[in-house]
Amino acid sequence: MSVRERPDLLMERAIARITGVVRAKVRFDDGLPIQVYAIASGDRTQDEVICDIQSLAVAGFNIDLDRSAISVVRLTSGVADPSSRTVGPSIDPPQPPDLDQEEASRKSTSTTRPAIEQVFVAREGDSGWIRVSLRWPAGALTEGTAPATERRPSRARGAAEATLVALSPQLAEKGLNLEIDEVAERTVAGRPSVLVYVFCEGGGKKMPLMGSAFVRDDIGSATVKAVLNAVDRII
Amino acid sequence: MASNVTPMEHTQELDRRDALLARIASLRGVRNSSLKEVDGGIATTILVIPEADETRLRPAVKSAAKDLGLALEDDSIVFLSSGSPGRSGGRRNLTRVNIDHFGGNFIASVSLELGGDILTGEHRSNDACSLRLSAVAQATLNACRDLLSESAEVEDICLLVDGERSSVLVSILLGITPLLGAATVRFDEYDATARAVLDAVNRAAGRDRSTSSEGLMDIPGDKT
Repeated sequence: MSVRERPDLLMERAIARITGVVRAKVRFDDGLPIQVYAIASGDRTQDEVICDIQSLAVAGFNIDLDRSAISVVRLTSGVADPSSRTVGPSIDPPQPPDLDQEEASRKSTSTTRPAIEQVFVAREGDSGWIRVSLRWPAGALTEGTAPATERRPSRARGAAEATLVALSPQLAEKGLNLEIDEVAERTVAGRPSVLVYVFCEGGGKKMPLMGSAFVRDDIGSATVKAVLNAVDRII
Repeated sequence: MASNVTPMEHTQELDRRDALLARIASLRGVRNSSLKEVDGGIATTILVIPEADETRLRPAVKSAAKDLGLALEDDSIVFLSSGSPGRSGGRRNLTRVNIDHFGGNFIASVSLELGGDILTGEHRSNDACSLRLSAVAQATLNACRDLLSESAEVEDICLLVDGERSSVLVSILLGITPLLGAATVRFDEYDATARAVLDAVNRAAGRDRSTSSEGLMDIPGDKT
C-alpha cells in the first residue's frame, strides 16, 4: 500500500500542516479515526489547535471528531521565544542556543556533519520523552526519540540516546553501531558541563569515544552537542 | 630606487621597507617575507602557513605599506604556502608531545603538522604536579597561535579518573569565549591534554570559518 492510499498518513500529514502543529499521529479502528495525538508549539493555545483539527477532519475528511478524541501536547523548543511560553500540560523551559557550538553546527554546510535543528522535551506527569532533530548538509532531516523524565540525569541520558537514533541512518551506512556508555556532569572553570562516553563498534573493532559540551541552560541540548562532539570524526 | 634621491632619503626608504617586513612578519600565519624592487616600485613575496587566508592578509599587507608611505600593488604581493594540505584535508596532525623535567622546570612542547609545515609551541612552568597539565595545554595553544583569531589561554583543566577510565577535560578562553574540550587518556595524560585542547580549538575553527567547520586539527585517538 502506498503512502498516499493510507488514510491515517493522509490525515496525519494534513494535521501536521495546521499552524503550530509539529507532528501528528492518528489511530484508526475500522477505517475511522478513534484518537488523534498532536504536538504543537508556538503561540497557539491547545483549544485553538483542537478546534482546527476538528474543522480539518470535517472539511477535509468528512469525519466528525469528538473533542475528547484529540490530545494535544504543547512544547517549547530550544530556540523558542521565552515570551511564547504559555500554560499547558507539557511545557519545558526555553533553551537559548549555545552560541559558540551552535554556530559551528549551523556553519557546517560544506561538511558531512549535521546541525542541530531542534531539541524537544515533552513531559506529562512523571514521564516524558525527548526528540532530537538533526539537519544534514544535503537538507535531509533525521530524528530520534527516547524516553526522558524530568530528572536531569534522565533527560541527559534520553538526549544522548535520541541523538544516536537520529544519527543511526548515517552510522548504519558506515557499518557502525554506537552505544551510550555513560553521561556525566562535571564542573569546569565554574561552569557545568556534560561528558558523554560512547562505545563505537564497526569492522570488528570496538573503540571508546568521548565528547563534551558546556551546559548553558538545558542539560538535554548540551548532551546532544556532546554526543555530536564525540562522533564528530566518524560521521 | 630613483637615482636622484639623497642618501638621507635612501636611508629612510630602507627603514620603511624594514618596518614593512616587520609588520608583515607580525601578521597571523606569516612565516617569512622578502621585498625586492620592480620597475621603480617594490614587490613582496610572503611565505605563509597552508591555512593562511590570503583574502585577509592581502589588505593587511597593503594597509601596512600605505601607512609607511610605500606603494604596493595587488599584483606585487605574492603568497607562497609553506606546506600542502595533501590528503589530510587541511587538518593538522598532532605529531609530537614532548615533556622535559630540567632543573626544577617542566618544559612541554607540542608539534602540529600539515603537509610538511610544522607549528610548534612550548611552555615552561615549575615542575609541580599541579602545573604540568596546564603547561602542556598552554604549549598546545602556543602551537595553535597562528591558527586562532584571538589570544587563547587555559582557563581550567582537570584529570578525571573513574575506575579504569581516565580523561582530561579542559576549558580554554579564546578572547572572552570559553571553549570546552575533552579526551580520554590512551597513552598518557599529557597526550590526552594536548588532544583535549585541540578538541576545544576545533570548535573555535568551526566558529571562525564561514565555509567549513571541519576544524583545524586531526585529533588522534578519540575522534578517529
